[in-house]
Amino acid sequence: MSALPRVLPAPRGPHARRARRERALLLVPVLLLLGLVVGLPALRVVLLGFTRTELADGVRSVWAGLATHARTLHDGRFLSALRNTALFTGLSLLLEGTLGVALALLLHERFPGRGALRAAVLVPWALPTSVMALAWAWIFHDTFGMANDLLERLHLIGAPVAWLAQPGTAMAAVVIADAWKTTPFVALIVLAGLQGIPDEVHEAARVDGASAFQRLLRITLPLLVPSLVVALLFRAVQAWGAFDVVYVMTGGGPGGSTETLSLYAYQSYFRYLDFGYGAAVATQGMLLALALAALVVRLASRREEA
Amino acid sequence: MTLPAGISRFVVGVVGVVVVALGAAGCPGTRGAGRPALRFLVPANERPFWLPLAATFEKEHPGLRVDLAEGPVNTDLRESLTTAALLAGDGSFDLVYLDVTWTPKLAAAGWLLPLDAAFPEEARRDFLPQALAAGVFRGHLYRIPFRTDVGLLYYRKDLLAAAGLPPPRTWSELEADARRLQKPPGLSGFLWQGAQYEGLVCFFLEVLRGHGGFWIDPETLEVGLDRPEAVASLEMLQRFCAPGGISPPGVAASKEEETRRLFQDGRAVFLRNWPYVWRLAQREGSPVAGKIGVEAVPTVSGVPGAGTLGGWGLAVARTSRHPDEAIAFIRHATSLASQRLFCAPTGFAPARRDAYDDPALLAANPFLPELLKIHASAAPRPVVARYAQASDVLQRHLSACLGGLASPRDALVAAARETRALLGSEP
Amino acid sequence: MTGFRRRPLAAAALAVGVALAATWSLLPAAWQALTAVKPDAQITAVPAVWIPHPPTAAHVRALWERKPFGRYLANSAGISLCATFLALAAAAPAAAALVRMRPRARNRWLLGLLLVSLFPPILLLFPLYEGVRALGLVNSPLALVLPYAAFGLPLAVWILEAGFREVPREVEEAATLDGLGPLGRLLRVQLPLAAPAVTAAALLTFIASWNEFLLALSFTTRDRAKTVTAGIASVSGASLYEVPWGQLSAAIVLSTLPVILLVLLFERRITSGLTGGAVKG
Repeated sequence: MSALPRVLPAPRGPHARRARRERALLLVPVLLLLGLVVGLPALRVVLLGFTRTELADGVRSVWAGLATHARTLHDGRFLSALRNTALFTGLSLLLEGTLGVALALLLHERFPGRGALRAAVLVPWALPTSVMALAWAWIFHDTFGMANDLLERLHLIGAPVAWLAQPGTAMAAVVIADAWKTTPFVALIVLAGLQGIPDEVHEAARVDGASAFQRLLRITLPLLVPSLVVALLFRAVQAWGAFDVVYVMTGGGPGGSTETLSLYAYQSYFRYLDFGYGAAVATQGMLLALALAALVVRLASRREEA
Repeated sequence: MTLPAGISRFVVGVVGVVVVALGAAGCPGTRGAGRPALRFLVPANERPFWLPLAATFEKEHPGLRVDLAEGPVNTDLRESLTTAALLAGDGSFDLVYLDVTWTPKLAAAGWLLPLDAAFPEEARRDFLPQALAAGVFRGHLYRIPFRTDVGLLYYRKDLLAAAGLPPPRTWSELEADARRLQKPPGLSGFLWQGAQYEGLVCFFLEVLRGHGGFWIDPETLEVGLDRPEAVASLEMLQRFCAPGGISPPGVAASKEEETRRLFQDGRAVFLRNWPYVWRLAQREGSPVAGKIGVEAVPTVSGVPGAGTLGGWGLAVARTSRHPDEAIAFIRHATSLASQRLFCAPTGFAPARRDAYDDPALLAANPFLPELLKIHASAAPRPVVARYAQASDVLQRHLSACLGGLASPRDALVAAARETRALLGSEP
Repeated sequence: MTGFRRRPLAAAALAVGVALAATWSLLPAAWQALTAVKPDAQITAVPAVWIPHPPTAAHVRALWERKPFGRYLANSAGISLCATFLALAAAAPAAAALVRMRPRARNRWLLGLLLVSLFPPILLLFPLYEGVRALGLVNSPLALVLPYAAFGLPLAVWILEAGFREVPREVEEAATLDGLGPLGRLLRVQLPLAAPAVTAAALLTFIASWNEFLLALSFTTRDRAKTVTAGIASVSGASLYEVPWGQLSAAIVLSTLPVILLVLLFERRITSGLTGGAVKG
């Protein structure tokens, strides 16, 4: 993308080798820390996925090759968790992306009190999920909850909705709670992207007679795509591993309709003491996400080249 | 100056700064390392009531210390913490304070010490038999009950009396009474726990037994979920929370506390819940104080139903370095004096038989004799090593039916199939 | 789009937007804040009581008396600060290295860093727990600092790399000609010039560390070693059974105030810190 290569190292010779060694050394701390805290533990769990856990007169892990992994093929609960995770991730990203862009556009305008609003918008992101999820469960409670109280006062619903008791509304409630918490993150990064668009671009369009709406549609939004992609990439990774929100709000219910892969892996590991299977579920979830990511990157880069 | 040295110096410097900063932040040392300490995890809300027990124990055993680690209030989180500690096998806990359903799993994993020799036949007679039996797995005793629980039916004495109705003994009586007395949304007919969690299983089991059905036979591993009694049970619950039924739709997402609050606010005629509700609903300032009664859960036939057994007990971790002292603590905690110390201020149901005749406890909790009567028919949940999975299978399918995803028959047929597959691998 | 003057329709739309944004962001939080000062009877009243009458400080006082809440706050602050410092110290050199790579290699590294975080963090809990126990780090702040720093790394590298890319190449070359090595350039040129990006990365890491729950719960067993989020899990009411909503809300508000103050303090810096960089992903 960048027209000017930023660095032009001499292709050969001691100088280039030195520069490469230098760069490699600079990457050591990151690799060390990630390797120690994420790499090694993850490797241990991945290896565990190739064992079968026996629970009789003690827990034993027996090497099982791919047998444990194969269990997911006949496991309806795994498939439903996979579907829920995908649905949760998709809906969350959709809602956060839309709201995030809208908020960013709003915060980019100049108006009195903008600083205060910018700070206010960031508040949800500063609240700990572990506790706010509990609060959201109460907000969606059919009798005590703020959601029903508000909707009834506004005459949007006639009778209280039992949000967490029905599959569709339960998923919606969980997605809303998640999006509430993370929209500020998306808005922040998109806002940064907005600020990077030079004013001249807008001026030129204005001179050309484009209306405000046309400018938004044809100039601003396309220029926002890269920063939105960055924000959503990070969010996608987090949403795919979503745990606390679901665990606290619905426990995966009703009828398993909000159970995510993380939740299922956690239950298998910590409650069923089926370490092998929990590890296999987590590993497959990660591999599927990787495959999905690879596909997206491949498609994106092909489009860029075209 | 060569580059690598510069960078490594930088890294060393950074690490140094962090370590020093952390040192300054203070790493709490181990206190009183001289005396051996018995460590275990108790929920934060119960900890104040355990402290007197620890104090009396330390007075009787001057060489020992009891270290009550304060755990989260949430039971699931404590289950995970306990599991992680036992799995790591590092002896960080000497005792385990465990729910009635954890015994088979933790015992099968080999993490608990058998207590057969420490608690011989005559010592076992001190306890309520149902509560004690829940600590037995494959013929060995692993868990000594500390406090017990049983599912109950609460009802509004005043509303029933005003309508000239006796407390319901059968499900159809309950349904008819609730229908007659309820005025939704201000006054619901019947509240129970319908969220996808263990509480739903507890309640469903009561209904199932009342219909003459069973879930899992722990001896033969037979599964009864797809039999007509089970289907009839779930059909009834589905009818309860359907529009126009006797339970509000929100019941399918309710746990104990939500239903207790509504009932205590005077917003329901009947409530299925645990004994703890009694004390809260009867205390001063409660809108229903003096207006509630309690009965065994109904059945189809009208014989008093069997409430699901709950409760908490103590076990010794196999990795404990002080097993004998830990056993001594269990004896102490389950003595009549300790039960009085713990149950009088909390209102929990004691696990010892003689506690139910104790004047001090009776004065603190006049509801104990009724509880003892109902507890005599308390029924345990099946003792199988893979209980947590079996329960989750049932929870999911029950919840799916109540959430409108499946018919009662389909939900139970699927649950039965999955449970059989699960138990097929039961060792 | 300069100046405050707009056509009436646009102004009205803007006002509605501002109101909606403020409501959406603040309502649930405000509900918590109000609950924190509500008398117990009004907390679960039906229909809901919005404005407490009269407001009470009982929950805050009870919280402070029953729990070493000040200690929790100090622990959280210390641990999050150390984690943030460590994350930046590791991420900055890496970002400096990445910024000098060819775009293709650089993008691969960036993506790789991101994908490392794809493994569900919840399942890292147990292996980490084993490590923490084996090293005798239970109740030690280090047991939380290292994971928090590591979890914050990918985002920190992305933001810093983007910030460093904005540093004019000429400045960097001049620094090299002055005899500065990569480290000197990083400390004297890149970090100061990309100060906004540094602030943004620091704040993001800090907040994530401050809010982490499960590791904090699992790696601390002593009350005095707990962080705020772990401490909140053991907040219990005056009676044994009830969920102490008032105290919980008070705890949420107290634990969030420091973070909100930080956000307010650095708001201008964060938004400009992320500027540009991310756009050129």
